[in-house]
Amino acid sequence: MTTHLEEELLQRYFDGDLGADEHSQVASHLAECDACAARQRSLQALRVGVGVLAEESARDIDFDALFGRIERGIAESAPRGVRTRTRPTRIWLPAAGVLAAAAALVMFLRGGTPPSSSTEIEEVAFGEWGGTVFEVALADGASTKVVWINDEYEDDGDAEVLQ
Amino acid sequence: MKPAQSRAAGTGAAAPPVNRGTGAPSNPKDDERQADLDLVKRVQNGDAVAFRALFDRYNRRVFAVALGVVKNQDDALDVMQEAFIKVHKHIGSFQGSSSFYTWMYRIVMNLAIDQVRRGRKVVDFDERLNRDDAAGDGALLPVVTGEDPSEDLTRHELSAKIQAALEQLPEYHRAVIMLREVEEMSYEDMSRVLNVPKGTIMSRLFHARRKMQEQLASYVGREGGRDTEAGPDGPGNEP
Repeated sequence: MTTHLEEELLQRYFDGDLGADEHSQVASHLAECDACAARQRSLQALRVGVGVLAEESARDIDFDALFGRIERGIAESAPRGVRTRTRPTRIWLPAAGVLAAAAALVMFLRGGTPPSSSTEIEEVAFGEWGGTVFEVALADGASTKVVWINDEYEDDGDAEVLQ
Repeated sequence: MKPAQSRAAGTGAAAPPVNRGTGAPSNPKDDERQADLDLVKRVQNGDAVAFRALFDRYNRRVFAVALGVVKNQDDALDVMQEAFIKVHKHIGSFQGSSSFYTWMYRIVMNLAIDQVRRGRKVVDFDERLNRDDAAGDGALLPVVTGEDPSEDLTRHELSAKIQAALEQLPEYHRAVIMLREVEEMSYEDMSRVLNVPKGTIMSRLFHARRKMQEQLASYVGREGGRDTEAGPDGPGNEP
């Protein structure tokens, strides 16, 4: 009477989980036992079928579009300290006075960095924003005060743990 | 994804582990893992092209595995999107002590299983499978059954049957089936990915396969899940 392979042993053989000796023994048995060979073919048929399903299901997926979504998600989830903002990179708020006269600021926007002729007076804060007051020399020899707003958030870290 | 036909042409059993100390040929899996690590290092240095290369290496398989678990195409795409964002976000802390792909699949499977457990609406994607545009039908049947070439089973029909059988399984059975049959993941790697003991993986895989065989008795040549004169039912420590 033939002793058939236990299911666990057959599946481990099928999955390549056996050592060389056991692998060889099972292979020898399968060569002689039609019933166990049929069981192995059944496992193989299932594997092929799942593989076909996988191929079919992925066939029409637009992976380029998906990668675009991923890139946008990465940009949106980037740490705040390095986030690229769509606003102008630097905003100049020339003021008619210094801090105490902030309410009287005449504001206009201007791109760029603080001019080399400016002198930093002090740092100020507006809620979550920070800025620096500069005194800037004008062409006619006069000077004016401007507030340079730093538009970059502080990096608040990212404590999210990998799931 | 490896072509299904190429698998069917083999014996169905992977070769035993290679003794790397004997000078035997290198394991292709090891080569793939090294290629992954090379790309990971480039991504860690800010190489966006390398990140796209990693995505391209895995996108089809990850999608198929995720879809097998969540059962819905939109949900699978959401899982993929979130997974690759997390991969990018945390890749700087990836040390290479484990393989990249087990690390990545752990993220994918956690997200996929969470998706299922959140009870989001699950919609069959049979509609897509049932379209009439399944080109190349008919080539696989003789390979799959190995018995009756006259049977007119198409790839399309086979996919629908497999899908229906998969949907009868709980998500933890679908997970091991997809990781093993699509990704060819070892028991040890599945254990790491799903964070359960190897014995549990083997048990789940055994039971999942048996249920699938019962559902697909007329297609995979095994009726009613009986063990065809075989003895024990196999591992019984399924959670």
